Amino acid sequence: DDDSSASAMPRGGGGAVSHPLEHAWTFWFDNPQGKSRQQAWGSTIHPIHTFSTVEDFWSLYNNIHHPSKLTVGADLHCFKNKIEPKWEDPICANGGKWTISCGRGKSDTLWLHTLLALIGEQFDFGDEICGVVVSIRQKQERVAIWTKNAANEAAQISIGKQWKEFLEYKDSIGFIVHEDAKKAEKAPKNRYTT
Amino acid sequence: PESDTNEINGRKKYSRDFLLTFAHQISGLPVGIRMDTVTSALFKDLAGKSYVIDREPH
Repeated sequence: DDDSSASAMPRGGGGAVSHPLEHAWTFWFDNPQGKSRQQAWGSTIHPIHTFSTVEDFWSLYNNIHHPSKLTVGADLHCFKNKIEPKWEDPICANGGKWTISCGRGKSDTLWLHTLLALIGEQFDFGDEICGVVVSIRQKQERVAIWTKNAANEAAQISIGKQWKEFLEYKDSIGFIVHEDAKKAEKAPKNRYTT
Repeated sequence: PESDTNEINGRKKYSRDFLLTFAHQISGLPVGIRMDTVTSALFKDLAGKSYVIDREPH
């Protein structure tokens, strides 16, 4: 039975059976070395690769640095294909993000487990998710899940709660609306917490 | 381990444990990757890597 269902699956470039994902996802890398972050934003962000099978995900993941090995200032994004990891993207424009912060060198497992939950479609409100970004900064590393519609409170709360469960993360986390972040001079207020 | 996946509600779901079983099977770079001076900083040791997905022996 296993054999017959496996043979019906599409085959990857190497001839091995591949496991298709629900969505195609694109990795983007932003590494504004030496430039002012303000000036550089958006101009240094590059799409790296789009994958749509489990195998292709690992072939990319296994060849790139883990977040803790990236330079300070770098952002690594994994977003659904066709959604750009920018506030200006029409699908992101009304959204927001849940963020988990951790110490330097601590984000690798959070990042991997978040990626696996996303590509494996473990979230009940997976359709509300745009993607995830890990940001390497001088004093901390941050992993953030971007969502589509910040006004949908039930969906945001569900995503935040499930994310914490998947990561076995106990502390409180906050959801910030992109619109609030744009307006705020310094630290925007959380719209939701869980 | 196909039992770890399902397509209930038409959705291709995979558990973390199932996805992790593939982690050490695949080492080659994906086909069609874009590489330039900025993005190459993201990649580990590029020397000696093929730009083709490794083929599993059958």
